[in-house]
Amino acid sequence: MLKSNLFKFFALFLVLYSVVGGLFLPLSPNIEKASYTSFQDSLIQIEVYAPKVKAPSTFFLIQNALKAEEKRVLKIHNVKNIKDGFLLTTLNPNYYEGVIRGNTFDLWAQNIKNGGFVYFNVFMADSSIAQLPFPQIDKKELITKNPFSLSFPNRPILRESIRNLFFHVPMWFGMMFLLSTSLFYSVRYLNKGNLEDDIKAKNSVEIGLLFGTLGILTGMLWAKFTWGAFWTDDPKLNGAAIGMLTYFAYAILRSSVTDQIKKAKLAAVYNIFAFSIYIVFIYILPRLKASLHPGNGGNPGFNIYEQDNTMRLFFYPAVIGWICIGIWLMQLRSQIDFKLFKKNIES
Amino acid sequence: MNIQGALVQLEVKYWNILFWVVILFTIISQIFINFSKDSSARYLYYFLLFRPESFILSKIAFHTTYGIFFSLFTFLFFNLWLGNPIENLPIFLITIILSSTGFSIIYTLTTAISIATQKSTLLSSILGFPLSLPIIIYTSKLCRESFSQTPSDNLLQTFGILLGFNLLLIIMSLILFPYIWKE
Repeated sequence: MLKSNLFKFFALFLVLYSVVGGLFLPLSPNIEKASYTSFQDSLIQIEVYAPKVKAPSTFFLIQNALKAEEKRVLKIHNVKNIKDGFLLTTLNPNYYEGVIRGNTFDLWAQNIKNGGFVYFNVFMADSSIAQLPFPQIDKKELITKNPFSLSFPNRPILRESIRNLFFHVPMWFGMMFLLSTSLFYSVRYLNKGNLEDDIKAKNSVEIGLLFGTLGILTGMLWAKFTWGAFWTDDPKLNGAAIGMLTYFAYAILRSSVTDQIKKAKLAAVYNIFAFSIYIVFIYILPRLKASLHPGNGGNPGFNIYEQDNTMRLFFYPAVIGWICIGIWLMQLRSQIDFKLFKKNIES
Repeated sequence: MNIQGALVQLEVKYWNILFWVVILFTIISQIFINFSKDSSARYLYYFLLFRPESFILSKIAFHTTYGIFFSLFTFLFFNLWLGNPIENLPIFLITIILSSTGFSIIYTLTTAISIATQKSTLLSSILGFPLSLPIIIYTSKLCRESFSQTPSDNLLQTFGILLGFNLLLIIMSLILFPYIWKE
């Protein structure tokens, strides 16, 4: 009893883990923008986005050079906090010797507790006034240890919406899994003629459609925040919508036949047909066209999100957990349907 | 952009839509009529005589020939009354042949299913419409190419997709039809 139900506890645990972790882990801080506000006063304005973590307090400018040991470091003093997330400092690298026109500088931000991170090519020298000696700082002052180890990557447009990866993508994985299960049961029904297989195939499709609908809704939310509209004319989105339509047609076909065995046979045949077309829609057609959606144009998967280890730590459990939940739901509904079916036969 | 010298002035976009709607509806209703013309006693006779594979293949062959013939006929009449916006005729003809083949195969199978349920033509269109959408998408793309004088380079790829899709459909109906043959 416990052994056969073990995967349910496992699924609940994984989903809970991924939801809690995915929603509450902080985003790593990032420098959104660093710009010159006024040339005369030599003011650099730095915009930092650091929710929930301690914002960096010390800043350095690193003069880029071809060789790593020739890089020179300049400490930025007198950093003023104007408002939340905005920092202002007065510094003009043009005044220092050894800085020539076209030199670029990286901005390094750190605090002692969390470590540091870098923002490339903040500043480009445009003249060489060269009055002051370069106040060289020992490079050991830069804390290079792994900064903000347990946090999600902070990307300019995605920002907090990156957490949607733990909800949107597992839905599609779950749907794909359930539709494959349904295909398996349909093929088995056609070979063996056991009505239990047909009931399982039907319920797999229904739970798969539920997952697909949720996947489309979360995807629409994500699209609103990153692309600016709930729906764009994109081969991947349209393919997904049409693929769902074929399965709604499957449901209509089932409801329009009354004879149990005939219904099972026709539905199984249509299911196999629909699945083959669905694969064409989701995996083949979108890859031939340009698309906003990651994982298209020949690129496999969504590598940009998976590069990060913290994302992986929550993404894979979420996928496995949601798939297990789908199987559980399918089994529950099949049990109910099978009992009703038996009752109908007896009466 | 309007088509010059036509009886009815239509934009090219609407010409395209009208043309394909006419073809789609013709194929659907023609296949349904063809299936429902035969009485159930006759199907029993067929059932005793033929293997299911040869039955479905001959049905598909007949409907495809009919579909292509009717599409060309429709094109002729559109030429007469609505003008001809086609700049690149070979592309358009190949598109007509490939897509009417695809429509015929899909609706042959779905009509076979819906005949088995004794429901009207509505069910066969509901089942077939989502399946035929990829063909519609690629057909409209190819038509846009045939309206312009300078077609793009990856035409062969698109033709290949349509052809592969048709082959897939034929193979699927060959495998699946024997299961619903008894009904």
